[in-house]
Amino acid sequence: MDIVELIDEHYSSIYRFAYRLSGSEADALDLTQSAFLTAQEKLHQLRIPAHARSWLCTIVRNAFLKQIRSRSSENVLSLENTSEPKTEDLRNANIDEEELQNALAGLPVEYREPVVLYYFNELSYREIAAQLEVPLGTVMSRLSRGKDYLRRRLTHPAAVEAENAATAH
Amino acid sequence: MKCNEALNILDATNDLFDGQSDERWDQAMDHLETCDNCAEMTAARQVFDEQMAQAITNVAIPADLKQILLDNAEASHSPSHQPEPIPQKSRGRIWAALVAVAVFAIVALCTWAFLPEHRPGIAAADIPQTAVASVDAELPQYNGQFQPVLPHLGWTQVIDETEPKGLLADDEGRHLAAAFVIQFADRQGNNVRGLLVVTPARELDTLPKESIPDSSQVQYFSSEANDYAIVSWQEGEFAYFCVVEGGSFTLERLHQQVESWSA
Ligand SMILES: [Zn+2]
Repeated sequence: MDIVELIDEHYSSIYRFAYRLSGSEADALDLTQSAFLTAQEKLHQLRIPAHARSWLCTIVRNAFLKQIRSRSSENVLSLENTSEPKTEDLRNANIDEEELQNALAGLPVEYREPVVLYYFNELSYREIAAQLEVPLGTVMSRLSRGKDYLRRRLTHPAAVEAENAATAH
Repeated sequence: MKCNEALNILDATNDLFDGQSDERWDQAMDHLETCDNCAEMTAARQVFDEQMAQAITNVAIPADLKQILLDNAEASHSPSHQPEPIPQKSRGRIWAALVAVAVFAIVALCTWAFLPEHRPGIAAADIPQTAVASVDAELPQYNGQFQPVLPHLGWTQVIDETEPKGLLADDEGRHLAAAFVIQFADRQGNNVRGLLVVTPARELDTLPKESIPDSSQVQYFSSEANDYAIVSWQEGEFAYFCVVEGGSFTLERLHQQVESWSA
């Protein structure tokens, strides 16, 4: 597999992944470009073409972590007072693109990463643990808290914003 | 099992669970059989999950993205290799970049000339014996200067703690290599023990030839207590040495396990 094939096959999904992880078009563009340059340099390390996508995702993730290390975020998950969405809220949720991006941006990175990998790559929690190199129990609890946050936020956006405003003062 | 606990387990694992038997998963599934509320909630969450999976991949791609990437690839392939992706530039900017590169090279050369030469601190030939001797030893916590990184995919499944141990101290007592303890039960229920030793490639006098763990490179060792198999490879800036107790069969099983998880 050469770099042109790799770009051809994966550029759009890698950009989407970078966008959901970083939350901005400019960052996603930077991350995608640097990921493919790194991939080109290290192409010999990719022995199994079927692993190309997850290999590229790992490169994006590493570059992203390096990038955000300088901008440490103080986000904390605080949705304890928002009521758990009811089954009909979940079934009828109409996920708005902008709301989704805001909700993801509101998740601290250690929760956002497993959640994006889960929904985006359809990885099992074992595979996520392997990619993130954290213990299984940690992935399970981050995934379930992260998903819980997104469900609450995307089914009651107004309530969550009111709560965030209250905790900010 | 209580409702909340069952819901949490099913939420984190869901139907993406990879089919490996797990007692808590089984208990959570048993709970669903007897609890209509949880069964209904789990089904509704799955509907929401499907919506999320669709929404999250719904991202507009910049029209010129593919061309930018192909141009970058071409530029970094050609002799006048550009380290940073810059999609379009004028001749003036190319000259400015060349001057900047020249200045950087001169500064780097001067700095380098005054720095002590870096000598590899580890003889690669010593690592297998050290690793074999360390499988049963009480090792100290790793205190070295590099951040040890696990190899690509799969390895967290076989490593029983995330805090690495330290090996091969330098003159100041700092570890030049980190060791992750390997301990897990394979599918036949056999206990596999070993160490995954990580060291920066620059610390080694000879680098492993392979860039992935390759069974053709396996070396075998016997100590009084046991037989060991060891395989080494290089990945990125690191060299890895994986040693397991029990010889080639165990190593084979370990590789199957790691490969099945990363597939
Ligand atoms: Zn229940």
